[in-house]
Amino acid sequence: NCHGMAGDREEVDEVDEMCVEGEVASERQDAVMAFEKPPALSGKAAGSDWEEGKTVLPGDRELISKLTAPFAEGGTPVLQVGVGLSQQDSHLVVHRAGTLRIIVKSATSKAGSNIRIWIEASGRRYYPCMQDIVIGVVTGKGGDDFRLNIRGPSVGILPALSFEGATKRSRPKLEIGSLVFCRVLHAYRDAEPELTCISLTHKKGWMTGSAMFGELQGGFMFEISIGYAHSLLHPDSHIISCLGRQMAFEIAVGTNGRVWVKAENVEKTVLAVNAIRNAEHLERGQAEAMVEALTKFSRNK
Amino acid sequence: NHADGSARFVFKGTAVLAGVFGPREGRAAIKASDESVITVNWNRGDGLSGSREKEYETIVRNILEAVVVRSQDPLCVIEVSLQAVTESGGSLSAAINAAVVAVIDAGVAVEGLCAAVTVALMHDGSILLDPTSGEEGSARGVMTVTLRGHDHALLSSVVSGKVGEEELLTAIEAAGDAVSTVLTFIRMAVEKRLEKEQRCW
Repeated sequence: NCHGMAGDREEVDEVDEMCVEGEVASERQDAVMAFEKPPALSGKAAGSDWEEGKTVLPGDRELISKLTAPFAEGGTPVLQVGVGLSQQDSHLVVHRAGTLRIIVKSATSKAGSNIRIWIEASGRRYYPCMQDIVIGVVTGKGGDDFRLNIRGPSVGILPALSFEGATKRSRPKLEIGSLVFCRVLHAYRDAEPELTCISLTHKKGWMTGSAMFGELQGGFMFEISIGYAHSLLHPDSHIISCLGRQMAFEIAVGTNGRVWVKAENVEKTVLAVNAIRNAEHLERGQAEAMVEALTKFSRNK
Repeated sequence: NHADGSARFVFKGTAVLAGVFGPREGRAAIKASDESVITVNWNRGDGLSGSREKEYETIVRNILEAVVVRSQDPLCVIEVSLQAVTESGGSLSAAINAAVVAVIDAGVAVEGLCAAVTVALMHDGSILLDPTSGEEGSARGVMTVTLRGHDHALLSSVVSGKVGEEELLTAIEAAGDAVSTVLTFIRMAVEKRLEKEQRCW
């Protein structure tokens, strides 16, 4: 009975999720493009100094009308307010210290401009968000779910059957302390986030070695700040390309600031871990020199 | 490195270190269903804890409860740990400033910045901002005034000694400029930190 109902819900969720995933994918593309070339806000309204890339602190405020004024042609602009900002009467107020990010989709014939504004901030505590991919550590086993520590305000729940091709008879047995590479299915402020290892695109079963999500075996996991994790996920991450030129390794990065690395042997794994950890505080040129120094040291031993 | 956010506030001879852990899941006895709970712990160097420490903990907690957006993290606990590394006057102000910056560093949602200054009222009627412990000792009254950043609204004033009503209001006004200086300094420190992150990643 329970399984029947859960199955139905999964189907409905899946359809919604596919739409969301499509949207999210294009949003991510937009976000990546914006990351590479921040859009120039032409014709800033007089008096508004809120521009893309500005460092803001909690309490900073700006009139909403000033933010939307430059994009008023073609219809009423829509302002989508994201993380770290909130509306108070006619002002937008900053709640987190960080960098202001603004993406503008220009007006089309049907709709006015769409302005997205949010605060990009790094930190150590992860706030779960739907569709994020995270690395969790198993801290407890219930009857039919696992409890994972995902570095957030509460533990995440991973149902035992939320693995590709898992049935009551064949499902993964995770021990306390195992690492799981999974996806956030639902994230609510007042309840624990729900996780899943079922992918919408890669349909390989959990028993084969090539499932998209699942347990991470071997290797070494360490924690970094959230902002650094985001930069590692970028396709042109400097430190990962540097390291990749020197050695072969497998890496999984969780949006919750956790990195798992696996290389040929223990020595190479430790080298990779140290290189990635150090690069958080080094500038690009220094990071390259550091990777070369580490590799030379390990070869000369 | 273990804390989610940390800050050290140093002014003349006083240095206070603040560490923030959270927001994280709270014990059943502590957590509230609709907002986060803030707990403050003041560590003295020698491990003992007296009434002065308890009083300071309550003051810092009340100020943080006024600035933190507590509805953002229901069922969570935000633990603030304060340590006065060296004390030579104005340790409560330094602690308040360190706690606020540490909370911002931890990424907790905060309505706005605030800063505290110490004001000493001397026997000859003069007002001293940020007195040393010697000046505090020979003052008629000592006030720790906390003002909100964007409109200088009074968040907290802690008075010890003998201070008249007019004198208190004058002191709060005098604190206004000093608070602006502290806030500019905090802004510079945060900008410098963010700029370094952007260069490295």
